[in-house]
Amino acid sequence: MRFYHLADVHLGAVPDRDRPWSAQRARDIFESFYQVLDQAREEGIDAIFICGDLFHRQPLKRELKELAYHFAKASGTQIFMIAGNHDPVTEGSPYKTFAWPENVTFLSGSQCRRIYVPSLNLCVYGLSYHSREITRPLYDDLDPRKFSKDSEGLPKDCCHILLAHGGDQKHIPIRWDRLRASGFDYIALGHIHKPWLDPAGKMAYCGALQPVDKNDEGPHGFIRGEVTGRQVKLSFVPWAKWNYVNLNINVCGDMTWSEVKDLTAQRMEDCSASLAPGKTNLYKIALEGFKSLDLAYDLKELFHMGNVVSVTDAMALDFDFDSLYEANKGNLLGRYMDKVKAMDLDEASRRKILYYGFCALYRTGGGMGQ
Amino acid sequence: MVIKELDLIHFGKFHHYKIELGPHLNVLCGPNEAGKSTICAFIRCMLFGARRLRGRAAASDLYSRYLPWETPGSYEGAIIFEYSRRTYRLYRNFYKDGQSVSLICLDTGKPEALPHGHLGDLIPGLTEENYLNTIHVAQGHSAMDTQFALELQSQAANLVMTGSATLHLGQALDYLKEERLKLQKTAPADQLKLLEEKIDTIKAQKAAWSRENETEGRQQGKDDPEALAGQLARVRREMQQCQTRAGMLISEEKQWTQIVHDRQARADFWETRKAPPETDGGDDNDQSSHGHTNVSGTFARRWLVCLAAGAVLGVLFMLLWSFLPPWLAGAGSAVSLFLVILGILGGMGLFGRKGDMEQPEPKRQPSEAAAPEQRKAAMAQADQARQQLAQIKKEKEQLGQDLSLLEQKEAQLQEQLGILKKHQERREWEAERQAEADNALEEYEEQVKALKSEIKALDQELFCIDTARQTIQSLAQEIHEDFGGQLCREASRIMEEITGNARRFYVNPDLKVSVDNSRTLVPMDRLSKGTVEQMHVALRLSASELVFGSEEMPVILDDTFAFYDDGRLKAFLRWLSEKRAGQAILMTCQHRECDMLDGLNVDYNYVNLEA
Repeated sequence: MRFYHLADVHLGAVPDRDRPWSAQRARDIFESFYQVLDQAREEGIDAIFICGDLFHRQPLKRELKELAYHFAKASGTQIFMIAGNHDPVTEGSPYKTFAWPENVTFLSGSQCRRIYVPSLNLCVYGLSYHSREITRPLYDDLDPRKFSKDSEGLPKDCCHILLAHGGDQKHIPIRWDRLRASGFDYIALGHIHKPWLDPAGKMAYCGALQPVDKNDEGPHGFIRGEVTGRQVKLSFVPWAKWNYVNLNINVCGDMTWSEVKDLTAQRMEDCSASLAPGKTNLYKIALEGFKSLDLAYDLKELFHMGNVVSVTDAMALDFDFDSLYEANKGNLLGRYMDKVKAMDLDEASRRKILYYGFCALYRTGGGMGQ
Repeated sequence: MVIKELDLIHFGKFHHYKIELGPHLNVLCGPNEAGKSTICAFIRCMLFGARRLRGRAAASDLYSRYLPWETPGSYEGAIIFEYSRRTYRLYRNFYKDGQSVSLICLDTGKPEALPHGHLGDLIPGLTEENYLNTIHVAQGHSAMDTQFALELQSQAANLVMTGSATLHLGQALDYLKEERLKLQKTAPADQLKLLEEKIDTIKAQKAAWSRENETEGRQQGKDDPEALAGQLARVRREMQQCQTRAGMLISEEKQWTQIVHDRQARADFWETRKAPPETDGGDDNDQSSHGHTNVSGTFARRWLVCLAAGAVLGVLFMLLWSFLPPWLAGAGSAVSLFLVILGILGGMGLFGRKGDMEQPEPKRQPSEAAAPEQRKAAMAQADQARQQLAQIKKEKEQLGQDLSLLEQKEAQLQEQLGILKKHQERREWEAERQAEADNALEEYEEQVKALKSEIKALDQELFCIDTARQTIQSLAQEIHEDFGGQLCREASRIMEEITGNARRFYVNPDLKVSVDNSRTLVPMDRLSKGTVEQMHVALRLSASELVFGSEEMPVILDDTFAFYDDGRLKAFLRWLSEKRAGQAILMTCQHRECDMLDGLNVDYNYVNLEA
């Protein structure tokens, strides 16, 4: 039996809201999901497991209708879904009353349920979130053999797959060793946006289909799996069109602002040269290193240089505060530094105050020694 | 620095007028209008240039004041001074169309560059502001500029700086103020306000909707669509029944109408005729009516005969089947079959039947005597039939009414169902609307959160700038306290030497002086004018130490002793000559100073400006 394992699609999310490409990204999230369904139809996949957070927030009834149409198109594939913490099955949720097409099974109960699929000799287990947070470890005590009274009636070689969503303190904490030893043939996990395959091969986070937030770096896609007997073979299929890349630009003491910008442009070109066609990089620029006191710069200019999501200024002043203090102990600057050191604030704030004071005195005075 | 010679080439009323000055005390004496202030101004203009102002101020600026009347095209001068053990000559041409300045070191013959056009380039700290506030004590303007206060602090701070650094605390504070403004401009406060307004709008909208829902719910919460549908089905069934019944009634009505008609006809017949009707027709009628009356399952005789014949024939032909030729056998079977069928169908009365009659009609005997009885019977029967008809008609009417009631009820139920359906659709639409609003609300709140954290970071940055500013300001205060103290002590010391009594002076950061009278601090303006003047001079002298450091600068006193009493004047002059090493240039219009200096046996340079 061949299956796809997806989660955290976050349909309806609008990433990078204030950037020009955010509308395109929101559309791409929908498109890429429908394309997965098309691919499943073409490849003749037997089952698709969607492990929660399909929607970024409560879906509307019309959105569910659209979704049902796409699901119905892939009529040859059995689709199993659970609701996650972003789209829980709350009181007024359309999930409660929606009539799914025949090939879709929505495990919407708050208790874990099992569905036996004779055509695929498969047991699918899962529960849905009914609120934003669940702090009880609902998955730790599950055992497919002892699940319910009719466990004996199942065929011995039937495959047991658990759809789970969570893994952190506020969203169903998980004891990994217990889950590994629980006896499921495969545990399809959702909630963490970064893909991760357990070395033992029996459980995996498939990660988000597309990066949703600028902290979602690295590859994104879904997991394709194949079950033969009781063995499960997994492979990761990258599917993301947009890619967040961290660019750390190291600034040296005597670089001018134009030099910094040129360096940034060069690095961005290098990154996009090694990119597959159809994919786009989104850059998070961090300026590091040292800046000289007379570096006049405007971070906003970096935003116009390409697909830049964020710019962080982590440059330190181009001199050693300690040696400066030593050299100026008896005079005004030393006294200024003394005062700042004595302030009851965190290190970062103190450094900033030193920086501002020093800049002020340096730029308006004359001939400050190093 | 020591000024050695003043060469007023063309300045004010002086042309080619040289004054030689000594290294220590100099007294320039002359009556009013001799040009003392001109010489003071000359020194100032030589050191810093004669600035031209614009507009109305141009009438009274330095440039215009000292523009020579006689030779307006020539406006120049030179001074020779000694500084750092070197002798320099500074030449200036003040004329607007030919301004120039040059500085030559007379020892080496090398010209010195003056990038800023004044001697501050050569002698550190010698700016016009400092000059006017320390060295140059003008007539009646002995108080120092409050702006100078900050400069003094910077100078004091500078004294502490090692190396060649100079500080401008005032400018540093301004820089920080600008940075703060720049940062504040990037604040997304507008965005935040917009988002919060949007959130409030949505919340208000939701509240309005829920109020609407409450009132609506109270109005139509009782109806259950399923129950209504059940009722509707029942009503329809009843209607169906009624209609069927009505159909039956209509046909019954038709029958009875005919019966009534017949019986009436008979009654009329008996009424009009005394004799029985013709037997044929009557008998025939009787026969047929008689035959028609026996309906209860018995066949008529003739049809029975037919049937029997057919049956017998059939049996016969079947027995003789093999003996007869085929055509005969076939024909015979057909005929017998035909007869059987005819008999059955006729017996069942498919050839016309006239309905139910309870009483078989007795065979009427034509007799004259029975005619009235017959007539009565016929009439009674006709009446009976009429009653029956009337009953049927009544029932039909009743049924008609029931039916129309049921129709009304059906229409009503249908309407109710329609309304309910509309309500349900509306509720679904409202739920969607609500869900959309909820989603939008969630998104906005997330955005607000992000913005708030941005604002928080910004506020943190602003806080750092403010703290830096405050720190610098407090440092300036401290410096002032350090050096202000020193300033005061120095000035107090000078005052003590001049006045002979030790009074403690205090100078606040704005250079306002107060005096300690052992009970409280008295602002200086409560003291006599003379003391105030002296205090100012003392302050300036100690300030000049601060500004110029160890370099002893000349002090120029332009008729400052008017308010000094003899004792004080003497003490001051003594102090100037004995305690102070630097050059002093005194301008006066009296001989008092000269006399006193003579009396003190002090060496001084006397310049008579009368000539």
